[in-house]
Amino acid sequence: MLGRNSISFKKRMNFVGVCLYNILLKSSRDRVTGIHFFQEMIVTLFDIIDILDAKVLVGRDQLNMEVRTAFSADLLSDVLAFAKAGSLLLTGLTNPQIVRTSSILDIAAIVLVRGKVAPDETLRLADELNIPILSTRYILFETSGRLYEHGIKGCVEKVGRDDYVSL
Amino acid sequence: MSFNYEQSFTIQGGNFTDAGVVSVFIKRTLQKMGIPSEILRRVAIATYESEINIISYARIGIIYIRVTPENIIINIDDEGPGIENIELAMRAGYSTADEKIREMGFGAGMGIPNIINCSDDFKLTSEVSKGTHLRILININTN
Ligand SMILES: Nc1ncnc2c1ncn2[C@@H]1O[C@H](COP(=O)(O)OP(=O)(O)OP(=O)(O)O)[C@@H](O)[C@H]1O
Ligand SMILES: [Mg+2]
Repeated sequence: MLGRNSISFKKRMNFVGVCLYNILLKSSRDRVTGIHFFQEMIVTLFDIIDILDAKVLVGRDQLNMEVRTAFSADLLSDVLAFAKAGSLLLTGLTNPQIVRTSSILDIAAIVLVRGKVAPDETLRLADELNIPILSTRYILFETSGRLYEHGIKGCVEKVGRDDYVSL
Repeated sequence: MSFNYEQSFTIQGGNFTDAGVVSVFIKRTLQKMGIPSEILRRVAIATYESEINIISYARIGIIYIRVTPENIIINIDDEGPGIENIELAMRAGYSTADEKIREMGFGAGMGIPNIINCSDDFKLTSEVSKGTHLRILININTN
């Protein structure tokens, strides 16, 4: 219920945004300003459900949450080394460690890719630690790409400095 | 604000089911104390990586944490195989993790380098077939 209201509210806001965008484009020779404005649009978990045709496994009450960045990995070691607080975690792993790792890092929400559903113990823990979990049938590459198209960026672009190497 | 707290936790090697429980608890406890979030994050990552390492490689270990107004000291002591080549273990990407650890999503050889990144001071000593000792210091800079 709340979900649908929220989406239509967002659609209206998007409409206002697009109108403003057009006005900005027409009123200013500087197209970049308009495009920049457009890119700053807010993405919530509600939008992500739309974009990824996703199911909600945990956290129905938190779908208004906004996200701007994400990290994709099937290795929690890399998530711990590189993911930033407030990001989405896109992964094919489903064990309870994805939730504990997210809690340690203040990951905003988890998206399971390739149609994965998590075992009960993972869902219970996510509920307890307040971390929403969505599930999409898109592969990791498509999931990342589709979100990127909607303005979600990587939480880091490259790792390390110029001389960084990992064995 | 002044912080004062200390506690020890025993970690059982091989107990993959509870991997991370202690670190999540420590993070919550420090969060309630009002430790700044950037510091909290570094403490949480350092304890979590250490906890996973004890569970993955050692028989048993103890995580001791002490919070003072100036800094946070974490001592991790385990009984286990120890580390033969410490220099190598500190390099990103070096790992001897087995299938079970990798299945869980760990074993990329990023843990110790990550702990070093989170620490203001870090010391790793080990004796082969006895155990491993880590001392992590994180300063609390409240200005
Ligand atoms: N407590 C320990 N006892 C014995 N050996 C250890 C211990 N901690 C780490 N090691 C050794 O050092 C290596 C590197 O550890 P590190 O935590 O950096 O990476 P990892 O555990 O292999 O993978 P990751 O932490 O990225 O999941 C391990 O593979 C293991 O051989
Ligand atoms: Mg490790």
